[in-house]
Amino acid sequence: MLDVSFLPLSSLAIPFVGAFLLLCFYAYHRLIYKKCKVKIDISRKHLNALFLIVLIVNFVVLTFVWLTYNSNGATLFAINGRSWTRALSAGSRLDPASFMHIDAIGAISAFLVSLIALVAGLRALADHRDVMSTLKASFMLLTLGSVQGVLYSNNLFTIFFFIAASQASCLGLYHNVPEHMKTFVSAAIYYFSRIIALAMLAGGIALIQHKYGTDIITVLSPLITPGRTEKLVFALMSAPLLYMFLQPPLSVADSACRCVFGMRTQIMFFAMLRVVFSLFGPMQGLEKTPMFFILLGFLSLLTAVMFAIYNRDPLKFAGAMELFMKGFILIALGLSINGSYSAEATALYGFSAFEGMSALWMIFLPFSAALSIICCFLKSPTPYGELWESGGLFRVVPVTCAGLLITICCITGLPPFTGYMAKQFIYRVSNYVSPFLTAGLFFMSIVMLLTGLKYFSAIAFGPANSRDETGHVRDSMIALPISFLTLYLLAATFMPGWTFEKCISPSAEALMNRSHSVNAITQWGHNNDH
Amino acid sequence: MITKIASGYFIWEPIIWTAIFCFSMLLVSCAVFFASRKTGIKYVSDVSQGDNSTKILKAADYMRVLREKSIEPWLKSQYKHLLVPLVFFIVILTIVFLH
Repeated sequence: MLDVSFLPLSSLAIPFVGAFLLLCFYAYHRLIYKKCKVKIDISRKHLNALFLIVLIVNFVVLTFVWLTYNSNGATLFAINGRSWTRALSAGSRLDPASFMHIDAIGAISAFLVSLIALVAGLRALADHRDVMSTLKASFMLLTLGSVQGVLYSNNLFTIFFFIAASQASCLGLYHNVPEHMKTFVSAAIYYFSRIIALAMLAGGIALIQHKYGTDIITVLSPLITPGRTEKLVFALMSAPLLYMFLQPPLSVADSACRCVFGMRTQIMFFAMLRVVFSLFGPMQGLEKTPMFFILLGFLSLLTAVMFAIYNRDPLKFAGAMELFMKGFILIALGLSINGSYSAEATALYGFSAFEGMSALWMIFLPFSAALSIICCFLKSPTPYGELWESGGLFRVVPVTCAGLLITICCITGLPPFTGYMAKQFIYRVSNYVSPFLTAGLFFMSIVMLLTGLKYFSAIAFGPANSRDETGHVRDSMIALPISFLTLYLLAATFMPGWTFEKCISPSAEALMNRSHSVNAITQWGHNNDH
Repeated sequence: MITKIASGYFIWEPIIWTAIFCFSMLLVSCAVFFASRKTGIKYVSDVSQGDNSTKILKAADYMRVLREKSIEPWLKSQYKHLLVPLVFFIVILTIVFLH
């Protein structure tokens, strides 16, 4: 049988190598070219081709990883300092001390991230307003590599390293360079806040490393006992990750950059899952934290509804919709933790909560990307303002409007769209915690659905201005990425059973099945003793 | 999911929840429709242009004022990036230590 254990490492290396090459090229032009005057020219066509090839190869490799190694809940690969080993192949042994591994949720998430990166790349290449540059391409690839790194990490320090790298590359894309004193202060506060957040994360990791002598999650999880240090570490690690997940999207109208920011947001929640479930689990002393997550999620829903009502700017609308999704995911997280504290709760609603949370989390990135691409497109300048102000857009850009309608229906969970498939788990589970919570979730969903439909009808069927007012803006500019995403959403809608069997259930089992790691460690210890 | 559906005990639950969701949606839609007929929901920009004679749904007006005067200036400020993680940290710390 063909040895394909090099695939995960290749998928991690490809974006980093691409980013490194492009950064070297940029640095050469900025630093050395002026002195030695030896010109190495790379045309825009070649840059675009290189960027696209890297994204396509990465997508193909990760598709193979996902299709080949989709095994329920188990660790698929482990890297232990020498090479990747296929942990489940005959004769191989899971090494719990591996600092990186891929399990089902990591493989599926990496595949999704590579798909969205490809979509964002296609959009970036077709964007005439924000033309692709060497620096932008290298930062996008760097973020992609960092995101995949977090998905593969089994080691707290590795997670921290890749999160820091993703923050740095996103800051490069954001390009928040101060020009005046006022903007300098505001930019300085922003950079300082990032440093503080990363320092909190690093502090938590250092504390746990100091106490237990390791920072490998599969080794730590059975060792951790309730105590003051552990509680402090939980707060130090979960607070910055929670904020970086919940923070509103940066105010940029570049859809490719917003897709990349969405990827970063997605991995912040993944890192939270690693901390909350894989590391701490249902630890004594953390019983009240689920209620905090549920309350925070509900506040996010309220804020999202407040921002969506009477707000006609597309980017603000997209921000409100994203916050709505994040609120639901947080509530699902709270319900999942709540359902893992006792065997009875797990049997009654725990596993459904896990499946609901996994399903919501899986669809967050495609929805976020679709919203970003559509809403940034609606901000396109026309001779009389922006595109969304023209009204009656369904006749001018029907594909975009159809994409927006499908996305709104999916996000707000209108049956039978794929968003509802995830939400009905949450409705059921919330009923076990409190019927008032279920009623509140129903109410929020319906208000958001009505608000979204009202927004859609206002821009799609409002009083139409003349066709000439939209200038050169046409559907074809975003047709390819939107078609990809819409096909994905429709496939998930029409094949819910397949989606659950191949994506959601393995992810939920990978999160819940902590005993697998513990058994592996015990087995590893026995083998070492003999 | 497929296994659960095949085993037969699971299939009624999604249908019931879908029905409850649709029924709730119908109820809220009717409530909004009748409320808008009775009170006349208008775009709040009418008020900002001094048209005080327009009837407005009060809750929406309060929501707009709250958003524009309190939340949006705060969201534009960079201090939120600094303060919110610290607030989260203090709240989580309080929750886990007071328990």
